[in-house]
Amino acid sequence: MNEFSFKKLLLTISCSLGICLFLVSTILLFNLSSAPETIVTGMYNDMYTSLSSGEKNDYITYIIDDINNKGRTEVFDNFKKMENNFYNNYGDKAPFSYFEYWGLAGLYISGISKMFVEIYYPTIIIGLFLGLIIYFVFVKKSNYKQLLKELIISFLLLIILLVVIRFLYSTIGNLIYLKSNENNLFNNITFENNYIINYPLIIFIFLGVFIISLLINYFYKLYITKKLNNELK
Amino acid sequence: MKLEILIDNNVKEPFITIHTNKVDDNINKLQDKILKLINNKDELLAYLNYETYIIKINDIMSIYSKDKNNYIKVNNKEYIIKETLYSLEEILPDNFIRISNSCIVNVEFIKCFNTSIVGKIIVIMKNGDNLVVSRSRTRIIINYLKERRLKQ
Repeated sequence: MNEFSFKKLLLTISCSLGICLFLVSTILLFNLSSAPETIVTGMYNDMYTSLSSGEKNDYITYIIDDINNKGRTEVFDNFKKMENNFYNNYGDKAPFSYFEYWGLAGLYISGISKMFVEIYYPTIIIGLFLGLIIYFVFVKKSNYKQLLKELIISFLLLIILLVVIRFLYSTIGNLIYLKSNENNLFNNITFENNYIINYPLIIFIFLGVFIISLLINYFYKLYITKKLNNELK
Repeated sequence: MKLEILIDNNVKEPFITIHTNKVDDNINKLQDKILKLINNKDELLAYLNYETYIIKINDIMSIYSKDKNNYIKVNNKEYIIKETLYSLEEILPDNFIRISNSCIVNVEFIKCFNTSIVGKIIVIMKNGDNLVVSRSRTRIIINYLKERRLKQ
């Protein structure tokens, strides 16, 4: 086993991170440049479907927030007024209606940025993990069995933690939420929409559990080492 | 416990007999120690670059297996030996302790213990070698060192 070197660790992590980001960027840019029309059309259709079905989603929240959280009927009235003004100003020259224009712009920006965040965020995490594993297994030549054991233990801890969180949310959290939100605008929304643990949060929890288990193990070993050194004297 | 030595001119090879009414832990320990003393070797045959060397056991820093061979380390030189770690464990003196499945160290050559960044206990030898202590052996080593300290 080689000695620990911070420089080598940083170098390995930055290399793996660089490779991961490069690969993902290449894939992402290729997809974006080849199919922008599909994305925009998809979002455009999605917006109309959401409005007509009355289904709550991010795009409607975005539009509603934009006009100071007014009621659903007020939102439609406002849109109608704004649309009429837009037609009065531009007439047949307008490529889209006022509502469609801003809605589409908003959708496009939030959709693209969301896509970037959702793709780059896990990429960075994967790059970091890969770097750490490559360093400890191939550069530092640590015992890979030990690493594997610790990963399995932390994964089990993660599952326990997720079960506990889910239990707390579905029992205590649900009761508190229902009591405190009786006059909420989105009263028809079920609580389930709010407690689904999304992908980045899972990675956060995983990282947290992994780091905590490593720290516990490390401090225990420090205590044992101290005991061994005392006996050796 | 009484110790009696009988001198008999007819005996060609000395032998030891223990008289007891039952075999307990103390008797077993005594038996092990006597056997260790009887089998105790001071020297070991080792090989380096097709040459054979006679190495004093107390000069050995560590004994380990690597790439299907067994080695001893003496004065920063690595010699191959034919004995297995298991067989050596039986004949080595008390200052040797097994720290993992593949390594035995001479306590006299231990500088200190340390913890690695991944939470492993490492033995740092006086020549600078770092050897990993296996998790299952930690408690045995602590007890061994405690006993050793009490004896001194």
